[in-house]
Amino acid sequence: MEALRFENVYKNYGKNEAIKNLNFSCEEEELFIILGPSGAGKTTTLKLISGLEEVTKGKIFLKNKLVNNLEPKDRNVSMVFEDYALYPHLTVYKNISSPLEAIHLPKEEIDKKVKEIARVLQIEELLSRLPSMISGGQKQRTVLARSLVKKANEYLMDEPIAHLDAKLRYQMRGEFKRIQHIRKMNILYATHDFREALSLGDKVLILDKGVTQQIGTPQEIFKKPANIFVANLLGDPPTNLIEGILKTKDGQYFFQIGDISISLSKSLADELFSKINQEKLVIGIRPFDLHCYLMQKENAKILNAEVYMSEIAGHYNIISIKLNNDIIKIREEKSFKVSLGDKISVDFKEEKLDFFDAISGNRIF
Amino acid sequence: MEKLELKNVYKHYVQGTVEAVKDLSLSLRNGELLAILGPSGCGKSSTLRMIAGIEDITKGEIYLDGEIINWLSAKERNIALAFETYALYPHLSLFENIAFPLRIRGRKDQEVRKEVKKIADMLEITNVLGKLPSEVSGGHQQRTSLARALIRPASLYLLDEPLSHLDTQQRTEFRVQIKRIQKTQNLTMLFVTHDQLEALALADRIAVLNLGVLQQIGTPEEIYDYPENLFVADFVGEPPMNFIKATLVREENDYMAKLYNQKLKVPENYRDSIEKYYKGDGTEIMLGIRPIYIDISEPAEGQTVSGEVYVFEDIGESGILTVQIGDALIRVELSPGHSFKLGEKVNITFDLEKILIFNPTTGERIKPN
Repeated sequence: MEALRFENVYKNYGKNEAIKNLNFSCEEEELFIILGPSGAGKTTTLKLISGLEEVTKGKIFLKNKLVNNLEPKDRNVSMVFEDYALYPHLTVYKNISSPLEAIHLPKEEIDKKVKEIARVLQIEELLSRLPSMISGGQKQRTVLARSLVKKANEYLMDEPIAHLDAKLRYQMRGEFKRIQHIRKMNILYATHDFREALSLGDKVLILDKGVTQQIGTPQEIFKKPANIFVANLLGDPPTNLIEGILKTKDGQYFFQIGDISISLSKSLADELFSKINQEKLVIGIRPFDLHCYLMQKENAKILNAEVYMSEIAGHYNIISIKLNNDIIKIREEKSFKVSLGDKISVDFKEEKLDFFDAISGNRIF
Repeated sequence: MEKLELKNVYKHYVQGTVEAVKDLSLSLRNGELLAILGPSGCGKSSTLRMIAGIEDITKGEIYLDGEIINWLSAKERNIALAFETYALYPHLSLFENIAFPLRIRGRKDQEVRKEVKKIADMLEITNVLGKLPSEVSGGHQQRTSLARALIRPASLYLLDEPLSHLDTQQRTEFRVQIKRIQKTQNLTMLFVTHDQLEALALADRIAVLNLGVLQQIGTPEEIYDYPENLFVADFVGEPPMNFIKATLVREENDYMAKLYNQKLKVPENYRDSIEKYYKGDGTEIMLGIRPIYIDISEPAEGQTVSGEVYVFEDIGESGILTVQIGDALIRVELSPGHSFKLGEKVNITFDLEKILIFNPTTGERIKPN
């Protein structure tokens, strides 16, 4: 059974169309991610499900039941709020049970639920302790336990870990993924962070200005982005996107970028020519699929490129070169050291390239 | 000659109470880009403001181009500033905001136009120069603020969280431009940030501050690979460094680090320094190792540690594996293309060359001989 389904949903605020013709469905036990930049319509989508906002047009189903006209309290969805502070004077147990006590559940039922979630999160032995007596990681598991102890048809989470510092975010993301593996809840999770989306999602919907860009598994959206927007949203640094023209000369095939030409194999060029109706294209390639050489490397795809910038990113060195008007980023090991103005060769495997239509931005293959 | 030098500088906000900056000494070379990095409250902004002359110095001396500047007013110091909170003149166009430092110096209009155009081109704001600050995005305002700081020649340029109001992508682009300008024009620049990724990417050297005290100053490589203490090790790097409690055991002529149910040989080059630190079997040490320097392996004699998969995250460009060993969780960063099941048994190996050893009491790193 589907846990949640959107059918042709629109939401207008006056003349502003926040959501345009949104269609998707979430299976039971699925963690479904909505990924997009600010203004994409993520929060609006969650509010439509919870009933805090009314749909302008279209239908929303929870467990195959139309809920457009149901009051928020009758929908049995749970908005998980970003509250990471534990009550310092209450035990771990009391911290977790507080949302259940607020709705006056019987004591035995509360006890059962608290113990169950504590077991999943491996904090059973800590239930009688105060927050000051447990480690940072245990505190986070307690926070998670508290937000998930209440059963719901769908848990709605709006950027639940976005405001945490980097270290906590890493920890919480891992905890989150683990508990979902074990407990299998229906979760709709909105984020702007591609790492959260790829790490946590069973499926990811990418939203931009209220319009769906792609729906797929993390693997699909990362390996086969449907368009330039998606390609650019995933990865740090994101995919390099380079505009150029597909050309043939003397039986050879090239991708021409300004006055630089990159040779292509016949088989690839033939396939491209069969799928396009104009020669202008955008190619995409990930920074870690490009490789730099200090020497002139024979047959390298790009020769004599000038180092435009070199930046350390932890274990890696991100090297930029300028190709025509585009800045291309390359991820190298930190031991690969270059200075501004150095000449390098850059090479890559042809099969790592993605091709996009230069006008529509859509993926060709 | 040093461009800027701070000698034993202190800042107290209320006499005798809070010390915002304690005994800070550091210097900048000509043409250098130095980052002051630290969490909020570390004293980085106070330091910047003392250099700029916006706040007075409680104790110590600050030199610019070899001259003491303690008693010079902000205006008298040849220092240009760009603030996080832009501080643009709301009623002036972006063009006039940028031109302002030249106008008050009585430069000819033609020259002003030329200079504004040049810097606006570099920062890619030429097409919005006619607008008022309120009509453009935060990113454009931040660029304008920077352009205004860079337009006039100064001995030193101070930037306060210059990238804070930009989204991730703008930030990576803008930071390249700042570094290009600084390098190609050979400017001496000091910027303040709480973002370790930004400091690593931009700076020639980084000064890490915590609670008003300088923790370490060094190149990005030194800070990342050889942090002086647990604070720096923990503050810099993503995913964060793993810290593992271990105890020392002496076996014949070797020192071993006992962790979980495994014994790892302490690398030979640590011999003398460990010998000094060793107070008998059971002496505690803290090992620090970055996730990227741990790998998965087949069980091999001696050097692997086994555990269970706690969680695995495939984030496209890398895989983050968290391994549970006893009560501890160890994070491993892998290349793309792995997959694991929850609870699966795995063996991990540490790159022993890259393991750091800390004194758990003082937090100081124990260095090789």
